Formats: sequence, structure tokens, C-alpha cells
Amino acid sequence: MSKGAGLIVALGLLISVPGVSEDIYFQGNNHIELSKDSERDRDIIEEWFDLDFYGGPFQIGLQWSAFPKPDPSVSDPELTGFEKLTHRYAELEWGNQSLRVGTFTQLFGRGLALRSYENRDLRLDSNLDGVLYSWAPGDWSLTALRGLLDTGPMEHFGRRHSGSISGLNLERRIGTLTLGSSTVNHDTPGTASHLGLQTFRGGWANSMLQLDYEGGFRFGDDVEGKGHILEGSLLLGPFSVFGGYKYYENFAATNQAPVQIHDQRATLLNRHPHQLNMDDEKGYLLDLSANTPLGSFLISHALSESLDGEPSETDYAESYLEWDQYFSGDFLLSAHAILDYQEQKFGSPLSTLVDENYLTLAGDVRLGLKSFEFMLEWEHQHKDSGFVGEFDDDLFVLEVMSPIGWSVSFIAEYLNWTDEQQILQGEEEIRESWTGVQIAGLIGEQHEIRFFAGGRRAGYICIGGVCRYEPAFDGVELTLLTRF
Amino acid sequence: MRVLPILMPLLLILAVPLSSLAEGKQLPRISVTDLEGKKHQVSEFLGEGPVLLNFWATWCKPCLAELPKVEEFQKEWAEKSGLKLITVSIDDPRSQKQIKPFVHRHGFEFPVYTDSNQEALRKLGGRGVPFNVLIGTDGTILSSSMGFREKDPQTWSKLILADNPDIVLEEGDE
Repeated sequence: MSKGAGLIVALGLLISVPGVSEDIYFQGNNHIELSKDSERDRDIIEEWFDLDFYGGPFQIGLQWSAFPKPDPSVSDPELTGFEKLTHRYAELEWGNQSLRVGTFTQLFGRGLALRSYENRDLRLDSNLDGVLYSWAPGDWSLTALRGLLDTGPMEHFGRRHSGSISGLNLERRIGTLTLGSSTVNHDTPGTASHLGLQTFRGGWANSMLQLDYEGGFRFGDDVEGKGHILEGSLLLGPFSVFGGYKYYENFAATNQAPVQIHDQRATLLNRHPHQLNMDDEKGYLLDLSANTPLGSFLISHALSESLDGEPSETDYAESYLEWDQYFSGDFLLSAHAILDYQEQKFGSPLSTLVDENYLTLAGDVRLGLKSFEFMLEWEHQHKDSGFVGEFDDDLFVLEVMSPIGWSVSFIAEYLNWTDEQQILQGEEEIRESWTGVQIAGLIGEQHEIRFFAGGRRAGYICIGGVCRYEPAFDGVELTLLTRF
Repeated sequence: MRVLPILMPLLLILAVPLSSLAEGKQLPRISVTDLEGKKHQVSEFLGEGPVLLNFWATWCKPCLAELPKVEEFQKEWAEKSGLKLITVSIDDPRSQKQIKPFVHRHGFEFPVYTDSNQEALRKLGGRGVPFNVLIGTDGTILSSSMGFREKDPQTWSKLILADNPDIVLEEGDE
């Protein structure tokens, strides 16, 4: 039995002891995903088991995870799966201070100097293992930490702890003004390798106007690096404006700063593989929106490019118009539509840069009658690639939701591409359509269950400029989330 | 991959009574940040009536579909019980500054806060959105639930009534 499983059993025995103080309680959850990919004859088991105990000012917890050997089509074949204790910690809170020993995640400012986090949709976990101290007297807030870093993508767990990080974050709020500064040092043991980031930030906001700036520089090695983020928004009557600017030069470390690209609600729009490059990227985002009796409207434009402006895979531009409307009366009716145009440079297998353009029209209508809700979604994307030519992608979703929290969805995707285009695109198999059925629901207050049967196209999942490639899937998938 | 370690947590879950153990307990010390960047302890919102904490995100379709229903419920119960609705966006910190224009564009009238690293959500036992937590006037957690069901407002009404026996319902009220 592994140490992790042993600890779980020990904690289980402890919590089953009758007469444990009323002040002590625990809560946890278990998230398991079981998949059988019949096409590739692959069984996939992924699991996260979290358990936290609370007792007055004390808190202890753990996370035990199981992760399979990655799909050979996307990862290093030497990587193996694991089942082990991935988080364990003890925390003490007193007054306005807290001390945590063990694993933790942390964010300094907007992530320009430090962001370690867990995102299961991206299968990403960049937790730190060490000591975290926080003190928040009045309008001041201070955080100090030291720890070993995990590498990020879950399949790389076990290759962690190549170096240590120490950081200090200080923030003060004076009325509507917030000022702060962060220092983060990265050291590699046994070497003279050292990298440091120092950032300063200031923000001011009232009910109408909001302005934020964070900027910093790299120190400790011979590489010159800097990063800047400037954002502002103005609300005026039914209108609002948002603008953001980014400049990142040799600034990649344990950080993830704003990408200045929206995450979209439409599936096809999040498949653009634009990853934030914190070593060489600049750009902006501009939004104009209005709330009118005819619905809410948003016009948005985003641009990213390399610092020297030369064509590169960093190049990305997006413009779109989005509309939302909601009606309430004897029945509920909501509608959402988006017209989007994306341009990006793509590194082809011939090591040349080619242009790729996507024109997308997507919309969904949700109708709520007394007992049931119906949702119909259609997404149409026209792709024009300098490498594989032009084709269309259509995605349909019909979802029926019952009042007891269960839903059935029918999902179909069809592409009118030729066999030659699929080969050029590097697809695993020649195929034009994918269909699937998903049943999802709640059982009591504790269980959320999702069952999928069918096929799913390979593609990227991108959240906040961080992308993960998901291989094609054909088979059945069961997801169970239990809270207790 | 060995099956035993995978089954261990499942067996443990089945071995303990399946009740949300946070329910009936005092609200833990959790904080959320307002759209002007100021941190607030959730306990600050208590005292004048129950509080419904609704966790959502701008990219979450079911959340956006349920928010008007949750708001409708709060309006219905605000006068009777002093119910406050506190919505908490778990949007990524990198897109946090876009929440205010989003809220304005959609005409949301309820208070919106943020929980960017999802610490408040996790301390309340949530792992995703939508997630609703009903807290009694004295800070006792009355219920917490994933997703949204049509019967949820009815369940919350009963819990509010049980927690506030002084509430007098008018004819036609449930």
C-alpha cells in the first residue's frame, strides 16, 4: 500500500471515531473520471481526492491523485502515470495572521510576479511545497513564502522540485487606492543559477472608473527582462469601455499575467492555440459594451504580437460582436449570439509560418417552460489556412434539462474537409463527423454525475492563455464528483 | 495502474455518512474581494438576515442562466427575511478587471465580489460553479449545493423559515 493510501485510511479511521469534538469537522470531495477509449483500446482513470479537517484555528488537509500515463500522441513517452499524495498541509490562523506548512497555491497581484494554481480542466497543478505566512493588519497585507515548485502539467508530477522559490508580497489600501510590490526569487540548488522578479503595482477605482498598472523587472542573472500591464475601465450610463495593454519581455517564471484575450462561451472559439508567451509578447484588448432594451452588446478587439513586430507564432488578432438577451414572464427565454473573426500565424510542419483565419458565427437559445428547459446551440466556423486550405466546422448541441437537475445533451460536430486536408492537418484518422450523448445530473446534495458516450474531436482547450491539447476520444466516459 | 488505491477513497466515502458536514457548522473565516479591490470577510455581511452566496463565472453558461432566478428569489425574500444575495465570481485573476464591465453590460443589480484563487469556494466545499451556500443570520451554514435545480428556491425558503421562526408569511406566500 502506498504512503498516500495509508494516510487516507488513517484519516478515515480517525474521523469514524465517535465523540470527536463538535468543533472539529471535516469536508472533502472526490473527483473521478473513468474513460474507455474503444478506438484506441485505452482505459483512463483520473482521480483527485481532497480531505480537509477544521478544528478552531487549525486546519489540515491532503489531496491524493491518480493520473494515467499520458497519451503517446501528445507527450513524452517516458512519462509514467502515478497514484500518490499530491498535496498535504497544516494551517494555523490567529488574529489577522496565518501560517501554513506543506503544499499551497499563491497569487501575487495579477500574477505578473507569481501565480501557482490548480486547474483541473487544464490538468494543471503548479502548487508550492514549503511555508506560507500571511499577515493582514488593517489596510496592510503581507505575504511571505518559501517552497519547492511543481512543474505545472499533471503528467509531469514527479519531476518537481528542481528549484526553490522565495517570495514577498506587500500591499496597502489607502481609500480607493491600492499600492503593492512583490519580489520573487528562483534558485536552483547546487548551481549559481538565480532569477528574480520585482514588480510594483497601483490601482485606483470608484464606482465609474477603474485604473490598474503593474510593472516590473528581472534581476539576478544577465538577462534583461521586464513586464508591464495597464488596464482601465469606464462605466457611463448604459455604456462601458475596457482597455488593456500588455508587454512581456524575458519575464517567464512561475507567473501567469493577463493574456488580454477573452475566454469564450462558444466551444470552437476556445480552440485557438494561442499560448501566452511571457518572454516575447505585447498587445492590447479593447472592449466597448452597451446595455440596451434590445439586449446587451459587446464589440471587442484584441491583438498580440512579438516584441519586434516580426511575423511569429505569437501573432494573434481577434474581433467580435456579441449579443445577449433575457426575457422573463410566463416562461424564460435567453439568447446569445457572437460573430467572431480570428487571425493567427501557425508554424506548419514544413517549418514555415502560415496564416490561419477563422470566421465564426455561434449562438444559443435557452427556453424555460414550467417543468423543463431546452437549449439549442449552433456554432459555425469557416477556417482559411495557408497550409491546408479552406473548410467549415459545424457544432450542434441540443440539451434538455429537467427540474430535478438532470440533463440530456446531444452533441454533433461535422467538418466538410477533404481527406488530403486532414492528412495535411496531421489528424490521427480520416473522419468528418463526431457525435455524442451526455447525461448529467445531481444525486442528492452530494453527488454530481456525468456520463458521455460517443466521439470527440481532438483539439486545444485554452483558458487564460494557457492551452492543453486533448487527443481525439471515442468511447464512454464517466465523471463523478462527490462532496462529503 | 493498480485498482486498490483508486478504490480506497471511494470506499472511504461510502463508509462515512453522506451528509455535507459543513452544514450546521459556523461559517469558516473566508474573504472575498469587491470590484474596487477591497477585501471583505464574509462574516461582515451577516447579522441583518440570511445570506445567499452564489459562486459563478463569466464563462459559465449554467451560471448565467441561473443568476436571474437566484436574484428573483432574493428579491422575493429580501423584505420578509432581510435575505442578502452576495454573488462571487471565480473568474481567473488575469481577467478579473473585465468583470466590472461585464456586470454593467448585463445590468446585474446585485453585489458582485471575486474569489480569484477559489479559496473561499474550496473552504465551503465547492469545486466548481455554479455553487450556492445559504448562511443563517447567526453565521450557521444552512445548505450548500452544486448546480441549480428548480426546487432549490423552495428548499432555501423552508430553511430560511426554519431559521427565522418570527417571519410572518402573507396569504399566497409559500
